Amino acid sequence: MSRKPAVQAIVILLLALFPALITAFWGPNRPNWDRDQLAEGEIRLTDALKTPNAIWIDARTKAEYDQEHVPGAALLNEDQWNSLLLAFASQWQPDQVIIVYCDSLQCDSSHQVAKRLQKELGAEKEKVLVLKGGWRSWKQAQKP
Amino acid sequence: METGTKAINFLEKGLYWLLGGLFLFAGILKVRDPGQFAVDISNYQLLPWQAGVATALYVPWVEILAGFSLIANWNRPGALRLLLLLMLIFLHALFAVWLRGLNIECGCFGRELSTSNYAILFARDLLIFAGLGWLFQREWKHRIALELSSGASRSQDTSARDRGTP
Repeated sequence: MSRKPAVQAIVILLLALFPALITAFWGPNRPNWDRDQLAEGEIRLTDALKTPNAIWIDARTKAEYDQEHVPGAALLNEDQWNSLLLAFASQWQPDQVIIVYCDSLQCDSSHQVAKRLQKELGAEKEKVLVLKGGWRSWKQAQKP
Repeated sequence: METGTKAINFLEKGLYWLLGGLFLFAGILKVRDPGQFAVDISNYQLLPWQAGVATALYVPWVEILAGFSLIANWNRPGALRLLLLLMLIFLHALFAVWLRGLNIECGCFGRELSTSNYAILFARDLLIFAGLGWLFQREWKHRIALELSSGASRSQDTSARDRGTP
Protein backbone atom coordinates (compact mmCIF):
# COMPACT_ATOMS: atom_id res chain seq x y z
CA MET A 1 0.00 0.00 0.00
CA SER A 2 1.36 3.43 -0.89
CA ARG A 3 2.06 5.93 1.87
CA LYS A 4 0.01 9.07 2.27
CA PRO A 5 1.50 12.18 0.56
CA ALA A 6 2.09 13.92 3.90
CA VAL A 7 4.10 10.95 5.16
CA GLN A 8 6.05 10.85 1.89
CA ALA A 9 6.86 14.57 2.25
CA ILE A 10 8.05 14.03 5.81
CA VAL A 11 10.27 11.14 4.65
CA ILE A 12 11.89 13.44 2.06
CA LEU A 13 12.33 16.24 4.61
CA LEU A 14 13.94 13.87 7.11
CA LEU A 15 16.24 12.34 4.52
CA ALA A 16 17.39 15.80 3.41
CA LEU A 17 18.52 16.52 6.97
CA PHE A 18 21.44 14.07 6.81
CA PRO A 19 23.39 15.55 3.87
CA ALA A 20 22.51 19.06 5.13
CA LEU A 21 24.09 18.31 8.50
CA ILE A 22 27.15 16.76 6.85
CA THR A 23 27.54 19.91 4.69
CA ALA A 24 27.08 22.13 7.75
CA PHE A 25 29.94 20.46 9.61
CA TRP A 26 32.32 19.31 6.91
CA GLY A 27 31.28 20.96 3.61
CA PRO A 28 34.12 22.84 1.85
CA ASN A 29 32.01 25.94 1.10
CA ARG A 30 29.86 25.84 4.25
CA PRO A 31 28.53 29.24 5.33
CA ASN A 32 29.71 30.88 8.51
CA TRP A 33 27.10 30.95 11.30
CA ASP A 34 28.74 34.00 12.84
CA ARG A 35 28.17 36.89 10.52
CA ASP A 36 30.68 39.13 12.27
CA GLN A 37 33.55 36.76 11.68
CA LEU A 38 35.81 37.83 8.84
CA ALA A 39 35.74 35.67 5.72
CA GLU A 40 38.91 35.11 3.72
CA GLY A 41 40.10 38.33 2.07
CA GLU A 42 37.95 40.65 4.22
CA ILE A 43 39.10 43.55 6.39
CA ARG A 44 37.31 45.52 9.11
CA LEU A 45 36.88 49.27 8.73
CA THR A 46 39.12 50.08 11.72
CA ASP A 47 41.97 48.09 10.16
CA ALA A 48 41.26 49.44 6.67
CA LEU A 49 41.61 53.01 7.92
CA LYS A 50 45.02 52.16 9.38
CA THR A 51 46.28 50.58 6.16
CA PRO A 52 48.95 52.79 4.65
CA ASN A 53 49.00 53.50 0.92
CA ALA A 54 45.55 52.00 0.37
CA ILE A 55 43.42 52.69 -2.67
CA TRP A 56 39.64 52.41 -2.28
CA ILE A 57 37.24 50.99 -4.85
CA ASP A 58 33.50 51.54 -4.85
CA ALA A 59 31.83 48.49 -6.43
CA ARG A 60 28.30 49.90 -6.21
CA THR A 61 26.35 51.39 -9.11
CA LYS A 62 27.35 54.72 -10.65
CA ALA A 63 24.20 56.37 -9.30
CA GLU A 64 25.05 55.29 -5.75
CA TYR A 65 28.67 56.37 -6.23
CA ASP A 66 27.64 59.79 -7.56
CA GLN A 67 25.37 60.31 -4.57
CA GLU A 68 28.11 59.67 -2.01
CA HIS A 69 31.27 57.59 -1.65
CA VAL A 70 34.37 57.13 0.47
CA PRO A 71 36.58 60.17 -0.22
CA GLY A 72 39.10 59.36 -2.93
CA ALA A 73 37.46 56.04 -3.87
CA ALA A 74 37.41 55.04 -7.53
CA LEU A 75 34.27 53.64 -9.14
CA LEU A 76 34.72 50.10 -10.47
CA ASN A 77 31.69 47.90 -10.88
CA GLU A 78 30.88 44.91 -13.03
CA ASP A 79 28.27 46.81 -15.09
CA GLN A 80 30.88 49.08 -16.69
CA TRP A 81 33.88 46.87 -16.04
CA ASN A 82 35.95 47.36 -19.18
CA SER A 83 35.85 51.15 -19.31
CA LEU A 84 36.25 51.63 -15.55
CA LEU A 85 39.06 49.11 -15.23
CA LEU A 86 41.18 51.04 -17.72
CA ALA A 87 40.73 54.24 -15.74
CA PHE A 88 41.53 52.46 -12.48
CA ALA A 89 44.60 50.66 -13.86
CA SER A 90 46.14 54.00 -14.87
CA GLN A 91 46.08 55.27 -11.27
CA TRP A 92 46.92 52.03 -9.44
CA GLN A 93 50.43 51.05 -8.33
CA PRO A 94 51.13 47.32 -7.77
CA ASP A 95 52.44 47.96 -4.23
CA GLN A 96 49.17 49.57 -3.15
CA VAL A 97 46.58 47.71 -1.09
CA ILE A 98 43.17 47.76 -2.76
CA ILE A 99 40.12 47.95 -0.49
CA VAL A 100 36.85 47.17 -2.26
CA TYR A 101 33.43 47.91 -0.84
CA CYS A 102 29.84 47.51 -1.94
CA ASP A 103 26.64 48.49 -0.18
CA SER A 104 26.46 46.35 2.92
CA LEU A 105 27.35 43.11 4.62
CA GLN A 106 24.97 41.28 2.37
CA CYS A 107 26.06 42.48 -1.05
CA ASP A 108 28.47 40.37 -3.02
CA SER A 109 29.72 42.69 -5.77
CA SER A 110 32.81 43.70 -3.77
CA HIS A 111 33.89 40.05 -3.60
CA GLN A 112 33.29 39.64 -7.33
CA VAL A 113 35.25 42.81 -8.14
CA ALA A 114 38.09 41.70 -5.83
CA LYS A 115 38.27 38.33 -7.60
CA ARG A 116 38.34 39.95 -11.02
CA LEU A 117 41.04 42.40 -9.96
CA GLN A 118 43.24 39.49 -8.92
CA LYS A 119 42.52 37.63 -12.12
CA GLU A 120 42.52 40.41 -14.71
CA LEU A 121 44.80 43.02 -13.17
CA GLY A 122 47.19 40.49 -11.66
CA ALA A 123 46.89 42.07 -8.21
CA GLU A 124 48.26 39.93 -5.37
CA LYS A 125 45.60 38.14 -3.31
CA GLU A 126 46.89 39.63 -0.03
CA LYS A 127 46.68 43.13 -1.49
CA VAL A 128 43.04 43.01 -2.57
CA LEU A 129 40.73 43.19 0.44
CA VAL A 130 36.98 43.51 0.84
CA LEU A 131 35.61 45.92 3.42
CA LYS A 132 33.45 43.99 5.91
CA GLY A 133 30.05 45.66 6.10
CA GLY A 134 30.70 47.80 3.00
CA TRP A 135 29.45 51.34 2.58
CA ARG A 136 27.00 51.00 5.46
CA SER A 137 29.79 50.30 7.93
CA TRP A 138 31.56 53.44 6.66
CA LYS A 139 28.40 55.53 7.10
CA GLN A 140 27.84 54.02 10.53
CA ALA A 141 31.35 55.02 11.59
CA GLN A 142 30.78 58.63 10.44
CA LYS A 143 27.80 59.02 12.79
CA PRO A 144 28.61 60.98 15.94
CA MET B 1 -6.80 4.23 -25.36
CA GLU B 2 -7.68 7.45 -27.17
CA THR B 3 -4.93 9.44 -28.83
CA GLY B 4 -5.79 12.51 -26.72
CA THR B 5 -5.48 10.60 -23.45
CA LYS B 6 -2.23 9.04 -24.64
CA ALA B 7 -0.83 12.46 -25.47
CA ILE B 8 -1.82 13.84 -22.07
CA ASN B 9 -0.26 10.87 -20.29
CA PHE B 10 2.90 11.36 -22.33
CA LEU B 11 2.93 15.07 -21.45
CA GLU B 12 2.41 14.23 -17.78
CA LYS B 13 5.35 11.82 -17.75
CA GLY B 14 7.54 14.32 -19.63
CA LEU B 15 6.64 17.11 -17.22
CA TYR B 16 7.53 14.96 -14.21
CA TRP B 17 10.94 14.35 -15.77
CA LEU B 18 11.44 17.97 -16.81
CA LEU B 19 10.47 19.50 -13.48
CA GLY B 20 12.25 16.79 -11.51
CA GLY B 21 15.41 17.42 -13.54
CA LEU B 22 15.05 21.16 -13.05
CA PHE B 23 14.90 20.92 -9.26
CA LEU B 24 17.67 18.35 -9.20
CA PHE B 25 19.86 20.68 -11.26
CA ALA B 26 18.98 23.76 -9.18
CA GLY B 27 19.70 21.87 -5.96
CA ILE B 28 23.08 20.57 -7.19
CA LEU B 29 24.16 24.08 -8.25
CA LYS B 30 23.33 25.45 -4.81
CA VAL B 31 24.78 22.53 -2.86
CA ARG B 32 28.17 23.23 -4.47
CA ASP B 33 28.39 26.61 -2.72
CA PRO B 34 26.01 26.93 0.26
CA GLY B 35 28.06 29.90 1.51
CA GLN B 36 27.15 31.87 -1.60
CA PHE B 37 23.52 30.74 -1.36
CA ALA B 38 23.41 31.98 2.26
CA VAL B 39 24.54 35.43 1.04
CA ASP B 40 21.90 35.31 -1.73
CA ILE B 41 19.18 34.45 0.82
CA SER B 42 20.40 37.18 3.13
CA ASN B 43 20.11 39.70 0.26
CA TYR B 44 16.34 39.14 0.30
CA GLN B 45 16.34 40.68 3.80
CA LEU B 46 13.52 38.40 4.90
CA LEU B 47 15.34 36.13 7.36
CA PRO B 48 17.91 36.64 10.09
CA TRP B 49 21.42 35.54 9.06
CA GLN B 50 21.43 32.25 11.00
CA ALA B 51 18.03 31.25 9.59
CA GLY B 52 19.37 32.04 6.11
CA VAL B 53 22.40 29.83 6.73
CA ALA B 54 20.17 26.94 7.87
CA THR B 55 17.98 27.44 4.79
CA ALA B 56 21.03 27.51 2.50
CA LEU B 57 22.25 24.23 3.95
CA TYR B 58 18.89 22.44 3.95
CA VAL B 59 16.67 23.62 1.05
CA PRO B 60 19.01 22.53 -1.80
CA TRP B 61 18.97 18.97 -0.46
CA VAL B 62 15.17 19.04 -0.28
CA GLU B 63 15.16 20.18 -3.92
CA ILE B 64 17.55 17.40 -4.91
CA LEU B 65 15.58 14.65 -3.14
CA ALA B 66 12.19 15.95 -4.28
CA GLY B 67 13.47 16.35 -7.86
CA PHE B 68 14.82 12.81 -7.78
CA SER B 69 11.47 11.60 -6.39
CA LEU B 70 9.59 13.13 -9.31
CA ILE B 71 11.88 11.44 -11.83
CA ALA B 72 12.12 8.06 -10.09
CA ASN B 73 8.43 7.93 -9.12
CA TRP B 74 9.43 7.37 -5.50
CA ASN B 75 7.20 9.16 -2.95
CA ARG B 76 6.08 11.27 -5.90
CA PRO B 77 2.83 12.76 -4.46
CA GLY B 78 4.69 13.89 -1.34
CA ALA B 79 7.51 15.41 -3.43
CA LEU B 80 4.96 17.21 -5.59
CA ARG B 81 3.34 18.83 -2.56
CA LEU B 82 6.72 19.81 -1.10
CA LEU B 83 7.85 21.43 -4.34
CA LEU B 84 4.56 23.31 -4.69
CA LEU B 85 5.05 24.68 -1.19
CA LEU B 86 8.66 25.61 -1.96
CA MET B 87 7.61 27.40 -5.14
CA LEU B 88 4.98 29.34 -3.20
CA ILE B 89 7.67 30.48 -0.78
CA PHE B 90 10.08 31.38 -3.64
CA LEU B 91 7.37 33.37 -5.44
CA HIS B 92 6.46 35.20 -2.25
CA ALA B 93 10.12 36.07 -1.56
CA LEU B 94 10.68 37.22 -5.12
CA PHE B 95 7.55 39.36 -5.11
CA ALA B 96 8.58 40.90 -1.78
CA VAL B 97 11.99 42.05 -3.08
CA TRP B 98 10.47 43.21 -6.35
CA LEU B 99 7.99 45.39 -4.45
CA ARG B 100 10.72 46.81 -2.24
CA GLY B 101 12.82 47.66 -5.29
CA LEU B 102 15.89 45.73 -4.12
CA ASN B 103 18.41 44.98 -6.85
CA ILE B 104 19.67 41.53 -5.93
CA GLU B 105 20.71 38.29 -7.57
CA CYS B 106 17.99 35.65 -7.38
CA GLY B 107 20.30 32.76 -6.42
CA CYS B 108 17.65 30.33 -7.67
CA PHE B 109 20.12 28.39 -9.83
CA GLY B 110 23.30 29.30 -8.01
CA ARG B 111 25.42 32.06 -9.53
CA GLU B 112 26.00 30.40 -12.91
CA LEU B 113 22.53 31.15 -14.26
CA SER B 114 21.85 34.18 -12.16
CA THR B 115 19.77 37.16 -13.24
CA SER B 116 18.14 40.05 -11.43
CA ASN B 117 15.43 40.73 -14.02
CA TYR B 118 12.40 40.26 -11.78
CA ALA B 119 9.85 40.04 -14.58
CA ILE B 120 11.73 37.10 -16.13
CA LEU B 121 12.32 35.46 -12.75
CA PHE B 122 8.70 35.83 -11.71
CA ALA B 123 7.41 34.54 -15.06
CA ARG B 124 9.79 31.56 -14.88
CA ASP B 125 8.74 30.67 -11.33
CA LEU B 126 5.06 31.07 -12.20
CA LEU B 127 5.53 28.70 -15.14
CA ILE B 128 7.19 26.10 -12.90
CA PHE B 129 4.43 26.57 -10.33
CA ALA B 130 1.77 26.12 -13.03
CA GLY B 131 3.46 22.92 -14.23
CA LEU B 132 3.57 21.52 -10.70
CA GLY B 133 -0.02 22.63 -10.14
CA TRP B 134 -1.20 20.80 -13.25
CA LEU B 135 0.60 17.62 -12.17
CA PHE B 136 -0.86 18.00 -8.69
CA GLN B 137 -4.44 18.23 -9.96
CA ARG B 138 -3.87 15.18 -12.23
CA GLU B 139 -2.45 13.22 -9.30
CA TRP B 140 -5.30 14.38 -7.07
CA LYS B 141 -7.96 13.27 -9.56
CA HIS B 142 -6.22 9.94 -10.01
CA ARG B 143 -6.06 9.45 -6.23
CA ILE B 144 -9.79 10.27 -5.80
CA ALA B 145 -10.71 7.91 -8.64
CA LEU B 146 -8.65 5.14 -7.04
CA GLU B 147 -10.24 5.70 -3.64
CA LEU B 148 -13.73 5.69 -5.18
CA SER B 149 -13.09 2.51 -7.11
CA SER B 150 -11.57 0.75 -4.08
CA GLY B 151 -14.54 1.97 -2.00
CA ALA B 152 -16.96 0.60 -4.60
CA SER B 153 -15.22 -2.79 -4.74
CA ARG B 154 -15.25 -2.95 -0.91
CA SER B 155 -18.99 -2.31 -0.80
CA GLN B 156 -19.53 -4.96 -3.52
CA ASP B 157 -17.59 -7.46 -1.41
CA THR B 158 -19.62 -6.57 1.67
CA SER B 159 -22.98 -6.97 -0.11
CA ALA B 160 -21.79 -10.28 -1.66
CA ARG B 161 -20.85 -11.51 1.84
CA ASP B 162 -24.26 -10.37 3.18
CA ARG B 163 -26.01 -12.31 0.41
CA GLY B 164 -23.83 -15.32 1.13
CA THR B 165 -22.52 -15.49 -2.44
CA PRO B 166 -18.81 -15.94 -3.14
